[in-house]
Amino acid sequence: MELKVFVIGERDTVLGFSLIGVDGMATDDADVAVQKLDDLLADPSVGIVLVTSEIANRIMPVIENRKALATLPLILEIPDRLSRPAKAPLRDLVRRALGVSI
Amino acid sequence: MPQGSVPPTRAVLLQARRDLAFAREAHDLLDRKRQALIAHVLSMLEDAEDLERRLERQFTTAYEALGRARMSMGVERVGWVALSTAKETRVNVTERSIMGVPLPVVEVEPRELRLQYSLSGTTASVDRAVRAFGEVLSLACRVAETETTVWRLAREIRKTQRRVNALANVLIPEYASIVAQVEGALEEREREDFYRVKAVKRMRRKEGR
Repeated sequence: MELKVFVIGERDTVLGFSLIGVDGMATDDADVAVQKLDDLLADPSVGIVLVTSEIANRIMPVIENRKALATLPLILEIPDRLSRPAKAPLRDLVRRALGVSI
Repeated sequence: MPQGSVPPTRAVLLQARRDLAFAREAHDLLDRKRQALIAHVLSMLEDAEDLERRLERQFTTAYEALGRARMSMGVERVGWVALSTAKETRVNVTERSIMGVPLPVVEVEPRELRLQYSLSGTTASVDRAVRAFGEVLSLACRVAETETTVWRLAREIRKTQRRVNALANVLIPEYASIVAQVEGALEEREREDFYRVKAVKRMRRKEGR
């Protein structure tokens, strides 16, 4: 399926992605971001939603919840100019699932 | 199942034996599923982490390239280029299934190197920014795929583990106890019958003499 990619978040990131034909919305308002995220999740033409870290870190519970509910679109937190996503490292995720150290 | 709540009949025993065998089989299957999922997630983990690190580095490169483009061309003109670019980039997202877990497969359509902006008004630094973000996109798609995969596998492992535990710690002991209980009761009854028959025979023999 040919699907869209959409970026939510920091202005620079949205600008950079729009140079390569990826649509996006610049916002630093958490409520606006959540609203947009939910609109995109309901849109079957969207395949991947990228959320920049500053805003993603503020709405992390919502993102985790949506990831658990929906198979598509995929949601990915990405670094913005100044910060990195504060998500649990994959290794920790797997460690918790296994209940042992790896 | 509370003790003594089942009638000690042969039918109950047969049913309980069937349940026990079924629960054991389910336990083995789920345990094997769990092991397969674990093997899969462990085999992916290093690659996934490596991709994450590469994506982060590529983002740094891309933001730098964007910064330089804005310095050489001005913020506004980069904005115009961005606006004039058709938002037509698409990715191909399909699904595959491992042990019943739906996992995404993402492919970026190879971008045609068609310039969407006029060369006269732009500088080479814009081209570099475009290329850098193109790299970011293809890496981001792969990271979205691997991260989601690890995430879903981890969740499925936890779910399977809970089921394996429930079978091993609750259901299997429960069925085993019913089987033992009913078997014991039936044996007890058989012994009673045996001695009763013996007693009757003994009495008849006495009377016969």
